[in-house]
Amino acid sequence: MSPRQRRRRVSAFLLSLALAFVAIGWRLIDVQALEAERYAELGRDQRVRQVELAAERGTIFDRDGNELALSVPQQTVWADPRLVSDPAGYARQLAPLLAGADDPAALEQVMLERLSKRDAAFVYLRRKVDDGVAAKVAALSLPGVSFVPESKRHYPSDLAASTIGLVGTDNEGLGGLEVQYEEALAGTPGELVVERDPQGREIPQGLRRYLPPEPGSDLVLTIDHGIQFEAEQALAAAVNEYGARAGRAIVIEIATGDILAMANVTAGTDGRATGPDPHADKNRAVVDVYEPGSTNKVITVAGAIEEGLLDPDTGLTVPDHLTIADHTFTDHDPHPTETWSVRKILVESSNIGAILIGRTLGRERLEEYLRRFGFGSGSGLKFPGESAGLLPTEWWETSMGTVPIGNGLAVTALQMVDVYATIANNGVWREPRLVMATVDADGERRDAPLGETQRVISSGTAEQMRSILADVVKEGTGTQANIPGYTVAGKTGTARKPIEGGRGYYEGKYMASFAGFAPAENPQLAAIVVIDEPSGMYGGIVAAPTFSRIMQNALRIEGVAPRPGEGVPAQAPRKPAPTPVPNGGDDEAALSSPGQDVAVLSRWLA
Amino acid sequence: MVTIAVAVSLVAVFGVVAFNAFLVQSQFRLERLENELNAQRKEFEQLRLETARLSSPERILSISRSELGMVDPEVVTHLTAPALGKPLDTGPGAAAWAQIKPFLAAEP
Repeated sequence: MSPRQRRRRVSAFLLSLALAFVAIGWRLIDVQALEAERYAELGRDQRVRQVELAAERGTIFDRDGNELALSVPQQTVWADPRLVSDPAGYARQLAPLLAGADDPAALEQVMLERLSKRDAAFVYLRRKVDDGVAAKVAALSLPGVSFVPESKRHYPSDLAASTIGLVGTDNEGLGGLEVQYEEALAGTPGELVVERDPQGREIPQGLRRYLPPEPGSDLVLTIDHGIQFEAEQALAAAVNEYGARAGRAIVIEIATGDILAMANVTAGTDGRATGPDPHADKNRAVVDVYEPGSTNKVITVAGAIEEGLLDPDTGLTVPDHLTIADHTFTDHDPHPTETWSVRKILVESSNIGAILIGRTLGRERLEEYLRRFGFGSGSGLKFPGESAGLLPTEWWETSMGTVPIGNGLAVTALQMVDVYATIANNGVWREPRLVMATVDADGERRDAPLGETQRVISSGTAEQMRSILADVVKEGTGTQANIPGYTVAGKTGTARKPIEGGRGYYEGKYMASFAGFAPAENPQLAAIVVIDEPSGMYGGIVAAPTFSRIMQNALRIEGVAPRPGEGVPAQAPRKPAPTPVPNGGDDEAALSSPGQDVAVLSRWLA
Repeated sequence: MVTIAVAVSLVAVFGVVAFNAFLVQSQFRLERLENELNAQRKEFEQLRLETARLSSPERILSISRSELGMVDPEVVTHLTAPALGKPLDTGPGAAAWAQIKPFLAAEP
């Protein structure tokens, strides 16, 4: 090699070396200066994991601390489709394990679709599976399949299901108290930011930021799970026995307005009183309205007594029918025109008597008393979807025939039981409550204040009404509400169901109810039972025995002693359900007008 | 002098390495304890749920009727408690009280 050639080679080598250094230098500048932030971010993305820590949803307790709803951490199975080499094989292996009660074939198809999304980095395979299932999935060791803990809402029983409501997949309240108290129950999510190595272990001295989640507050309800359970059992038995469409019942502690039981039963498709998902059912006791029928007569009578227009012994001349405008109202049984006391009018549940008392009171005052007893406005519970009831917006001539006997207006079961609780509470209405206290994340209990009060009628009027209502149960239409050892006061109600979205009433469809309180001489508890479309139509026959069963149990649980020295049969003996009334005769007239009650009852009773 | 400096440096390096090793160990231990704590919490919640399910009135009623053959009572007898301060071991209620007492706590 000549010296010239050698120099050329050395120059070329040096030039190459210089170019290489320039390239490396340029790359160095690019990485360290020009694109430094981008590369640093890419590095952080590989190491740093940011996880939202879901707050544990608060527990819902009954008044004695029994859990009605609670949340438990479970595993959610997810996958990164980019790491899945055989979506069909994965779906085939996972579907039988994760299907639970669902169809494995359908789930396999869903999983296959999700696992085939090559552009996605995260797909759910199954949310909130129990630990046993998660362990079986983990044992498969499928690359790309991982787990993340998620809290799942559980309802240990179906007690008070429609009152408690339910939550969605992401634990957000969807109905009932779960949605009403969403803010308190949900809590505040936390956050964990941490640097991890490729094996998923935390890097010592690496970045770590932990913001703990704040658990939601617990709710302590006024519901008593024993009283609630018996109310649901009794209601379900009545709905089944009478082939009814549904039933609702409420028990209230008079002194506090605390709702001890709020039961709703819907007849299932199989003829049994169980819906497919009780937590998704409407809380009909406060959401749905119904025409109350004769239970409303207490307002008409109480208003007239309060205004000093008459007293329980005032006599009124009562015919068995009365024509107002173009409509003839009748009593359930024909009777000669007689002088009946106000007490007898209510004891016998006379429609004509109640209409005459309503006329004496007058439209303005009747409407005023309806509103004072809480009709036409919310109960104060503010339950989601709660109805304020419906009062006539226009008073027709016949309205003074219908409204005094509880037709032409609509109320919730809660509004009606509040009327009887008010009479029992010496004429003072108290706002009902369902939540007794909240317990925050630090365990500090905050008792909810008792509901507001408002005087509706004087204590003297209330006392007279209690006496009349006790006679209704003692010798009137409500004898089946009797509880041996106790004095019960209350009123039956039977009303035809108005046609939804139309005028008039359905033939043969009734709402049968009984509302009352006990013990009459020192009232502690008030309750209502409403049976929707029972085969036996009368409140005194269908609803009163159920009231008796529910109230007897509630009195026992609340420790209300019977009259001294009395052994108490566990349950008032039930009369057999009456056979449908044959056409013709007295009862045909009874069926021809709304709001009828049970004078004919006496024929079926011993 | 140089020897001392080298020795100090070596000790310092060894100290730093040892401290780091200790940190790493502690970090792993902390993570293990946190995992254990979470597992225990989870177990507690699951046991709480199981307790609530087992003590639900529906289940108790079902077992008491179908497995234990229990029936609803015909008559509920209300017992009147003796007045406070009266001796419990005398009087007509004493025999009944002796039967009831073992099933109660230390009170009254």
